[in-house]
Amino acid sequence: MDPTLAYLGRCLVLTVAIEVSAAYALGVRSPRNTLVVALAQTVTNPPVAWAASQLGWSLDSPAPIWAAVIALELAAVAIEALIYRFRLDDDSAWAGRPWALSALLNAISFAAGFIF
Amino acid sequence: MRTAGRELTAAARLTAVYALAHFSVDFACVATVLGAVVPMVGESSLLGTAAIILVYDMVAFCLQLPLGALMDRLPSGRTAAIISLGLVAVGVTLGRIGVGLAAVLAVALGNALFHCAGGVDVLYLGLDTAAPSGCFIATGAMGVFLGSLPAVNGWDMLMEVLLALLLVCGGLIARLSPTGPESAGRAPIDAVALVLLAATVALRSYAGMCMAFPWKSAFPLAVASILAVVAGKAAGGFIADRRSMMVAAIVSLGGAAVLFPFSWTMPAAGLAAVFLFNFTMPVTLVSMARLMPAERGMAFGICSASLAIGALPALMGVRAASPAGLAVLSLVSLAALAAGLLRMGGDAS
Repeated sequence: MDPTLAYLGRCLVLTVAIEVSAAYALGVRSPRNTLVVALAQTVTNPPVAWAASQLGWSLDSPAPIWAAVIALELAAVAIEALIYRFRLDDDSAWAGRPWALSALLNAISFAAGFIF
Repeated sequence: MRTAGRELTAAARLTAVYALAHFSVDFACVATVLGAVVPMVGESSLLGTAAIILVYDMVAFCLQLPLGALMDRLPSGRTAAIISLGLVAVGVTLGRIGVGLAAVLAVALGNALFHCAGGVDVLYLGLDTAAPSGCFIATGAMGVFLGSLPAVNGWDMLMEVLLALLLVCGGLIARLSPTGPESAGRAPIDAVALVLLAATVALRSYAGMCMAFPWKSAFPLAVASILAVVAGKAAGGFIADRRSMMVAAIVSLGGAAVLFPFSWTMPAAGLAAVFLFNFTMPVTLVSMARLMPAERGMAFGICSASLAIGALPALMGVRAASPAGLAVLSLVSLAALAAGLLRMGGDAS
């Protein structure tokens, strides 16, 4: 398999697992809402992971590269929040707070990314 | 009759002021990023340059989603627009004194806030007309072009001129009386139409980044190309108002698809294609706002975020820069836009 595709697949599986678990822990539990959270990751994660890999991002990258990766993460937060805003069911505890949910889930997954 | 005339004049003045401010903001932001910050990183460091441009692009465009949502809660965008000009001025100054990353963040944040603030005030003029949105958007391209010229960036007086421009625009905006949001109840939003319109914007952004015509290295033709972009964005709104959104979409993308195959070798065909291709900018923006009339700031934010998403592959070096590639992109855009407009009722007049 193409190494870039394998890398993107690994990132996506890991991110979906972490964010869906975190969302479940935060009270987003219905099958439909879980699917929305998972699908939001499939929209945002591959482009962000691909762009970060193109930039050669690593822990010892210089400041501009770090800033670019953080800006990409912020963009992902905004786009996922938009998806949650329109697609999460109203019965979710987070239905009225898509921006907070998106920021929290991405912060958790970004932090978990360091550990892995 | 006299009241209607006064309203028209007020609407035209608001559009003109925000269009001037849009030119100034984009000019100041791009001149700061490319003229002041990129040379600090070292233009030889390709990755560093790409990273700086990516930071600017993502913050300036994707942050318009939350800022647009915030704008929907405010009575108008005027105060936010004035604050945004202040942020851009701070960024210009930071760039000049050599504080690179902070300068990029300040101009990007200011840019995001300005676009949402000006965008909602122009959209509050009414969703039955696309011409004001087209005129507002059009001038940004000229600002970006001037801001990216090495000759302009090498000019000693540039910072003073940029700050003066921003100050004048702030004064003019302070004198405006935006109409504010009309009372429009929230209705369920057609998510498929939203995705189709957003895809059209993303494809246009990507195609715009791929228009590497060989003749553009000649300065007069590069200027003519930017004038075609500006005129196309403005004309698209007027044509949509006179005919319909659908007619503007077909003329724009259908015409561009026919002309792009000749655009590499014939500058006139290329200029005409660029002019036509840009008609869809006000069409997609106003259609998006019609989808969510109670959330026009959010609608503006979605269009802007789609621009950033469309630009991402090109910024990372993946470009379909060929006449055939551009023609195919035009046809795919046309299919997406026409499907979106049809889902909205097909009228879209």
